[in-house]
Amino acid sequence: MNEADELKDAPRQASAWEAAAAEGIDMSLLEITLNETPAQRIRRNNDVVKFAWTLRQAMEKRDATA
Amino acid sequence: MQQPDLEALINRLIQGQVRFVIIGGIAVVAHGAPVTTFDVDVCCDLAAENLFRLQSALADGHPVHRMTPQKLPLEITPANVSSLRNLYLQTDFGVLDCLGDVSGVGDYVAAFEQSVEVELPGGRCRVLTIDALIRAKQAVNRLQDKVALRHLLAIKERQNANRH
Repeated sequence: MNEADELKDAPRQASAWEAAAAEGIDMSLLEITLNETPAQRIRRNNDVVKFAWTLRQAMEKRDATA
Repeated sequence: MQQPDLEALINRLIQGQVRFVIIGGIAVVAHGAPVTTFDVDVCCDLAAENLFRLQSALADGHPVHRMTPQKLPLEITPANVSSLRNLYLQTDFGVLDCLGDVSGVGDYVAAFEQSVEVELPGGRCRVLTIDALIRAKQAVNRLQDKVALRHLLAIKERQNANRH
């Protein structure tokens, strides 16, 4: 068997994209964020952090009055 | 505790002309990973004059050392400035970690050399390159970094494919 045949028969290395998908990472979300600018991504993160804080405040208020 | 605003925190550093490079979760987000981070990690120039700038920039955010049980206020003085290596702060804008050194990358000079400029609404700042970020994540190898690493490697692969 020559070198070309050995390479052909070797198991194909999964790409990083395939490896991430195989581990359950939602690659469709990655496709969305890759279409944004870094500034937009940082703004989105900030919006999520602010929303999570607001939600937690609301939960604490609800628990206090329950 | 007031609502966190990590963008405002970064803007404070930019406007205060602090020499820093964004590392950690915000850098992962900036490169495109669809994850959320609740703090800002930066690699800082530990020169005394830069740390005094940092202190001034954060002054109205009431920074405290969040790892201390008493939450001691940040007080950088000529007497203690040369002994500072890492600052783990809680501010009114959110959590800020200022590191003098990044695992797998090096000190501020090394981080700066392995960074790219990013335009934000509040001004320009430096963010660790995706290659340096991958090295940093591989160096620490915490559970949370493994997910970030998967994203970064996929993004890097996509970038390489787009170049060819």
